[in-house]
Amino acid sequence: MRKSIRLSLAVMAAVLGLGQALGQAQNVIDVDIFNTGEVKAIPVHIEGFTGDVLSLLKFDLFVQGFEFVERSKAQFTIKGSNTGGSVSGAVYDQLKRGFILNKRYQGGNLRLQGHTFANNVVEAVTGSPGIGLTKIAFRQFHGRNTEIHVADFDGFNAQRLTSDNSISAGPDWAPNGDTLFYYSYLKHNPDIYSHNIRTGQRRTVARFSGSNISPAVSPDGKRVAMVLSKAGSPDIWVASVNGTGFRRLTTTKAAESSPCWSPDGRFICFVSRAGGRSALYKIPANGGAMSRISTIHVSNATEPDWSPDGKAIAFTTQRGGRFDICIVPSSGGSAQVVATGEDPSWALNSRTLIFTNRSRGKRILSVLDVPTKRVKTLPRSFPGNCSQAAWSN
Amino acid sequence: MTLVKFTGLTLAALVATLSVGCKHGPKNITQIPGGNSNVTGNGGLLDTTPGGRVGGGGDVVTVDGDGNIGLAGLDEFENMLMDREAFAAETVYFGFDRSEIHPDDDSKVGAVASALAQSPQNKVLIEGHCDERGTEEYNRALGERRALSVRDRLVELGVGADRIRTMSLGEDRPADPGFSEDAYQANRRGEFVLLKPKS
Repeated sequence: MRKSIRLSLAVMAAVLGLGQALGQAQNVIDVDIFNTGEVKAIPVHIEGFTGDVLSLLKFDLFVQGFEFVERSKAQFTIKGSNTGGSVSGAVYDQLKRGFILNKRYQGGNLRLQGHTFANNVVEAVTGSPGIGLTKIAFRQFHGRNTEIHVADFDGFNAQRLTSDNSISAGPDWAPNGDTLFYYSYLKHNPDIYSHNIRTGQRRTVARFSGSNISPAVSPDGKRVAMVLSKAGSPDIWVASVNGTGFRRLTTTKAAESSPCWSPDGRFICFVSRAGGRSALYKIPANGGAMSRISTIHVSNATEPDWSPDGKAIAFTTQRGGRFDICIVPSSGGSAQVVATGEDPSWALNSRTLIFTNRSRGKRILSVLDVPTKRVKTLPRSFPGNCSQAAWSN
Repeated sequence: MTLVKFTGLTLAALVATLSVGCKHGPKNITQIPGGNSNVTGNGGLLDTTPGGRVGGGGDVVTVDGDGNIGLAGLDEFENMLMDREAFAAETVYFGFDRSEIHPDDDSKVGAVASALAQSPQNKVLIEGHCDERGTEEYNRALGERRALSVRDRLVELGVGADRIRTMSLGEDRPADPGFSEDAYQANRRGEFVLLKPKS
């Protein structure tokens, strides 16, 4: 007990010193994700790390906008080691000629330490939070059936969540990362469940006749938007997360699909065929009129996801036989293609997307850094087709 | 089991660290809590709250201002046997990205309506399917929209709305797993499944 009080005092004393040093380096780099050219990746030189930790660091940093160059061309040098079962590392700013990070890590496991260090690097260099410790939930194909799986965002430590021997799909995270919402045909109808991944227990959220699909949890974790067809057409509905207080938002005779929330919880963006072709709309979460979100240059929009900073909506367009990932300002406007693929989900940094790449029946997950336009498939592949990745906070 | 809290972890890591350039050993260490955050499996159901039901029994099935006819509750269809063969010849097909019933298929829907008229104890499940040329959630909704179109036509032909159940399978149950136009056409379909009471 006394030891931890001493440690706390030392920690508190350290925070003051730490605050000063970081203040200099930590200007938030504001990246324009709508820049149609390529934003230049931040050139860094890595040395001293080996094996899995080196691979992990490179993937984490690559998908957050870094590139790896020789020492003379680097803006930052990242030097450290992972020998002896523990990660330590420092970041030296070549321009400002000083260290902006110097840490050792203990406990947990090497991957957790490595991801934490990668986060600290991103935070020190860019001022923005890193995504190294986030998770993904996704749909994995098992023959004719599909189950929900969870993994680290880079595909490692994958675990199977459902074993229902039926079709499960559409996973979405509650903001606290403890509960996953998805729908499953385990009772011979697509019904929505909330599944506590710590206790393993789940509750039925919506089991009406027809479709209960596409759950999307509100940013405050209290409500869930979904598509229900119980009123005679697939519509957007909202309810509390415990499956009470159902309220119908759209009333068109056309099919609505894929709701997602604005980060302030005021609006739900979704897809509707009400105007003929499939297009993006938004509607107040408390009810009201639906209004079109224009996607100039791109028709046929589906599967939207609203960025956590509120600025952009990523979505899928289908042209000819192919799918493309697009982004558009959340108020509508010019849409641009950023990658080949479908069903994008934003990371908490509002710049990295995970999505599905499909070709001749094979489906894999890939990650895109929107500003630098660079794509990488997940370093850890899965024993089966995967799709519908949802990114945790 | 120690929980791994994602946002809290980075804060804890920052707080536990000393400032730049310091080379002292133990005070410079960031503690990482926990190991793997295990996901416990199998999802035991805590309850089976069925949600509400619209119409069904002797209730009037609601029709809204846009002409959408509410669905009867799932409990209306419990304890029934599924017969996929009875209406196998009446499967209807849809155009790409469309959900209207083709005039050529009118007679098929009519045949199902007649059969149901003659067997008032039976009900029907309409399964809506898509080809793979659409995104997954979009296709799930499109399959349902197709099944509902067929349902609406059956209702027009006199079948009670409370005798019809719809279910979309999206693109997950193709009739033909190929990638040709013929395969795609075979997959864009609505199938009738006869439901007979268990007796």
